[in-house]
Amino acid sequence: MSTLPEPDDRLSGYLDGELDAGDRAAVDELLARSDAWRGALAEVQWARDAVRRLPWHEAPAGFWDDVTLEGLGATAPHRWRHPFRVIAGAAAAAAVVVALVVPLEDRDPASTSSGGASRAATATTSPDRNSVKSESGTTGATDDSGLLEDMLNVALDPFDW
Amino acid sequence: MADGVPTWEEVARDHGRFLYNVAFRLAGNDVDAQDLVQEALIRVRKGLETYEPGSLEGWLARIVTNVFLDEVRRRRRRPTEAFPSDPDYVLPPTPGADEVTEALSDEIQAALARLPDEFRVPVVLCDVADLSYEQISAALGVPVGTVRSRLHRGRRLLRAALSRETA
Repeated sequence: MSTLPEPDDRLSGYLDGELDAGDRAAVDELLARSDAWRGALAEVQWARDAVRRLPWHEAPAGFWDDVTLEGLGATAPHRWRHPFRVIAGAAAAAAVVVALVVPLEDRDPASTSSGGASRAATATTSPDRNSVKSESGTTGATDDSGLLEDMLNVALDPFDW
Repeated sequence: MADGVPTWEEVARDHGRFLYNVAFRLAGNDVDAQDLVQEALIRVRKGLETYEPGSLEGWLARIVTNVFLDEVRRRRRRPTEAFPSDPDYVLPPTPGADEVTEALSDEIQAALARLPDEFRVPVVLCDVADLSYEQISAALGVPVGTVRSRLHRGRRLLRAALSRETA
């Protein structure tokens, strides 16, 4: 008595009508002789049918309204075809700008006007940046103003995001 | 439609739902499905210039699959929960497919989305887009035997995953 082979991928081909006549006859014989093959066939058929009977998934309301050649912007760079991403990017950029501008407006006007010279003087008299105190007593604020200006310039560069 | 070749507008109008359904089953979520459909329709516009009448939905499924696979390669998609390497363990009795599909379509979709790409794509192309093994083979650039093997493995993984969830 010969040992039957383990159930294999011919079962999917069998279900899908993708076997040639020889393989199909062989699978028929195995199914007739083996509980394991019949059980495996039932399992694969269950999965196959489950996916095939999934309900049709529709696009969200309004999606197709924008699907025109013009709407897709077939010639535009990829990122501009996603308005939500553009808006989110603009909002993030605005948040960065606000975060940088508010500290600049709150700082001491004298240090604002002196700019780099002030930073140089501070560096000369106070090598330890973290120990610098402004007239209002805010640690580090005066010394960071030039850095913040540089960051703001970068953030506002319209070609850099 | 001239010489059996549809216009871009006809494709979008008459086959957009099909395209979206396949894209959703491939991507597993609406946001990515929308991106896939948009990109696929742009490629359709270019492809129609050389399209030869045949299985239009097969052609569309191949385009959206290529867009999906390009995106997978580009993003190096986030890792998905790993399926067991060998799903050979005792399964509960098999319920009727109608019963399961109605009650568990979300779970089926979730399990489908968690299938590794190499197994999910042939399952979607065969059981959602209704392509033949030959068409899937052409779409993926792999031999028909590989299609059958991956499809079978994908179905077994799905069955095993759903058995765990419904136990």
